[in-house]
Amino acid sequence: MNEEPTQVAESGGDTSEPTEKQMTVNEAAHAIGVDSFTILGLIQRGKLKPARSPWGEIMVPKSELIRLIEKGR
Amino acid sequence: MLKRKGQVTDFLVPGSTVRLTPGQLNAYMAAFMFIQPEFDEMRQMQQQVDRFPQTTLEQLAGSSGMPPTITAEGIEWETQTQLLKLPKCEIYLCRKSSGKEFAIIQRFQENAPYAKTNGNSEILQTGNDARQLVSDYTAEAQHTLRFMASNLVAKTQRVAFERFPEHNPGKVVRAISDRCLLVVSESLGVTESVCQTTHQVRGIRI
Repeated sequence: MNEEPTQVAESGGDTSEPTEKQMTVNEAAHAIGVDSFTILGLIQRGKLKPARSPWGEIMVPKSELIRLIEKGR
Repeated sequence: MLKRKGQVTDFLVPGSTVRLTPGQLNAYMAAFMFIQPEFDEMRQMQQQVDRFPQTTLEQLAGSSGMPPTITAEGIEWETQTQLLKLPKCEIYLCRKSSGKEFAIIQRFQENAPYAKTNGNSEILQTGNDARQLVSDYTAEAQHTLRFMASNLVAKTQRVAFERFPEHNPGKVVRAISDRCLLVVSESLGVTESVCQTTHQVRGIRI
């Protein structure tokens, strides 16, 4: 399975808001106009590399999202 | 009536055998409310996935009308049946217009930033046996739904542990986890409704 996060989210100890560089799955989905189901599928297929918040929630680094979009150009 | 430390302990919530105190029940409700919209969305998706085999058999038997075509990666495909309809995309079983190959194709909204750079149709899987292909995609979609469920549970942890540290948040999260995992288990509909009936103690509906 590819969904295991390979990096740890750094949110400065405050998990109430994602940092500037990371987004929740919903935020990432909204940003690129897809569903959260699609974001999780991209993670499972190894096309998107996730991180985790200190509470274990999947986070999407903004840089990963940009890479995904720019890859298609 | 079961009591522990002066509190009633016989509260049960749908899909779980974990018994909660009134304080834990409040924590459960607050944490669950945090994920309720996504939980409902996940449940709807699971219901669609549960219908995959039946839908496919009906459509492949020739009950579909004139199917529209989808162009993905420069190849034209005829849609055989719609497998999933989500707010921002649809997933179809398609057949290559010139050939016997089948594909599972995801179609995005054309104005989506992802579609603008990656194309509005993406081939997820291909194969020559439609039923096998749908079976394989069903397994993949099921896996994604389980992934979604575990992420929802992770989301509730912050609420439970930060806002209700004195109410055994681990137990609260376990009850939520049970409910989320039940949704993405096979034969969910029947199971959860049975649980709701069985576990509605003290007239509380969660």
